[in-house]
Amino acid sequence: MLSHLPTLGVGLGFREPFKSDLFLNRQQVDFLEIVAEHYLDASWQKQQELELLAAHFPIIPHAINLSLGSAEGLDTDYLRKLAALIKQLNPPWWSEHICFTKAGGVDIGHLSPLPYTQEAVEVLCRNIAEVRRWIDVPLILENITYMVKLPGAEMTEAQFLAEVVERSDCGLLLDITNLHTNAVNYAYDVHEFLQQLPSDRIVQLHFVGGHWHDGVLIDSHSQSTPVEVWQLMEEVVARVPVKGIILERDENLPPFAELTKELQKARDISRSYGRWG
Amino acid sequence: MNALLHNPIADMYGPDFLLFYCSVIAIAFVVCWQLIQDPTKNQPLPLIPAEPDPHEIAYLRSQETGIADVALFDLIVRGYLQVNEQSISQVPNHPDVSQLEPIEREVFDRLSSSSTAKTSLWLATQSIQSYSNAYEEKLQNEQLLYASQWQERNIKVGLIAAMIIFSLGGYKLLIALGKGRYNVGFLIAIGGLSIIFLLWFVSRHTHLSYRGKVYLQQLQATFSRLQQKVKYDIPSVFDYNLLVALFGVEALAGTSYDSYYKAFFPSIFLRTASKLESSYGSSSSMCSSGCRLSDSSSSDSSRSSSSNSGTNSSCSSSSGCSSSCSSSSDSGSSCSSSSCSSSSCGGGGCGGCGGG
Repeated sequence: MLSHLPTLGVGLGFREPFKSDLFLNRQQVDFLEIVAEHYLDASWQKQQELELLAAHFPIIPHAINLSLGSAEGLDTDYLRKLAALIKQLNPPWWSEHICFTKAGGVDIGHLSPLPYTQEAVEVLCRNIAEVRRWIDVPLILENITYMVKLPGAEMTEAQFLAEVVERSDCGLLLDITNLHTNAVNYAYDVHEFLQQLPSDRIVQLHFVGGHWHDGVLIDSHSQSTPVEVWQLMEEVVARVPVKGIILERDENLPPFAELTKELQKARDISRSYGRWG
Repeated sequence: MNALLHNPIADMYGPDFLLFYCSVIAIAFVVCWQLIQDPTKNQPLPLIPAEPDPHEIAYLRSQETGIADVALFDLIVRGYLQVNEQSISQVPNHPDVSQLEPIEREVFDRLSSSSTAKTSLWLATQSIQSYSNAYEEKLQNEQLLYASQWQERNIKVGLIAAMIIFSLGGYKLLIALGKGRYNVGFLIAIGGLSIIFLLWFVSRHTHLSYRGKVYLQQLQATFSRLQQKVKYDIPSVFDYNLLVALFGVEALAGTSYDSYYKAFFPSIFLRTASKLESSYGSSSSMCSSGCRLSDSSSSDSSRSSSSNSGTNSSCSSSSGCSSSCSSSSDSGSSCSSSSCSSSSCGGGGCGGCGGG
């Protein structure tokens, strides 16, 4: 099923501050990823913005707060709104994180890691099955960064990701910056990690740069993409015919030309492996 | 003849007829309103062009004057013209005119002698007439302008409705006068006022069609960030031209081309400046709404975050405006919620988003 997804190319995570520049550089952005939460209870202006974006770009909704890892189940009110948004946009796929953001009815406001256990896999698969009853558009799941490693792991993170996407029949949104960040902070071999992932399930990539704080690499989406992440992108794109690559810059926004330069670099990498024209 | 003098309308009791007459007027208005609907109302909007033409957008916004505004300002930005307080003149050692587009060359040649901003704009408007026709035709074809035939149709509809109101009222007036009743002031007032209002209603329109209005609003919303960009960033000549095309010369207030804005709006500037001087003395380090006491001529000063850099820039570095994070290297620890709202943090704090 995933191999039939359309190839979108190289795009941007849409942020309102660069809307003007985005439209003045449309040729350099193949598609956009929007944060679904910004449009769930959209004001008239946000709805207009969404329609404008959808009229000019292919749009991929990227959800944040569905909390697929919540053992208590999903927030059906949220899920209903999300389903309506996805139905409105009719995207080729949509994405969420492998994490939990809600527990005991409390919104943590943070993408929190799950323990790498069979029980967590079961919870995720059960919740994803519930999501499928509402949304029939293919779902791809993203790996997150974490500030703490939960005890009681029964498998590695890579094995956990692989098991989740295989059992739930989802694609993988591989955030190579998150991968690099975790590898740096927890000193693991990123190449070995990649080997354990089901490459046929990698649909999309995220990339950006973070910053250092007290000796810890923070995934702040605030810096230009470091060389290690570019190398990772080369490695992944060489192995996998990814359908889309998104630059996910949120903070410390540079002049738009810097963003398009990064997009062009990602495009060049993809082309060098014959991924798209 | 008898039927003309005695029928349900002729014999209708005065107040009843007025009620009936008002109903007819109301129905005429509703039918008129429906018949003069802009035919572009339900049409989809055109896509925003990948390379917007500032001249075309300027024409959409304010016709020939808009194009003249953009052409004039473009020549100033590129060093062909200069602004000295209220006047605009050619720069003595201007760049080579062969680099100018025909439309710009026309404007440049027309402004051979120094003249006031308003006069310069008038001269520029005269010189670009032939070019503006092409834009008018293009926008007309896209149904973004209000077509003259729609207006003619509206006038016809209005006249028919006015004729109905006039005939009915006039007929009853004659019948009343024939019966020796002179308490007809209210009838005349209702009829007269409704006809005047109706004719005004059907004849009013802007130069834009409904589609054109909405499209222009969409363009302005899409490129609204240019207003901040020209104040706090490094805009290109194209950015400036597009800004003037979309928002007019007023959008230059507080930018490094503030002097150009002041040349066109000296009264506003002087009035606001004197008000500020009387309120705060001569140092202006507050955020206001589009005027400056200090004249900044360098782009550096307009991009700095110091208080002399204009109306809004002093806000930019201190008030935690929405763009405050864009200049902070710290990934958000000091951000307001605004910065987070556009991030992919799961509603949590900035920076520690854990991997979104």
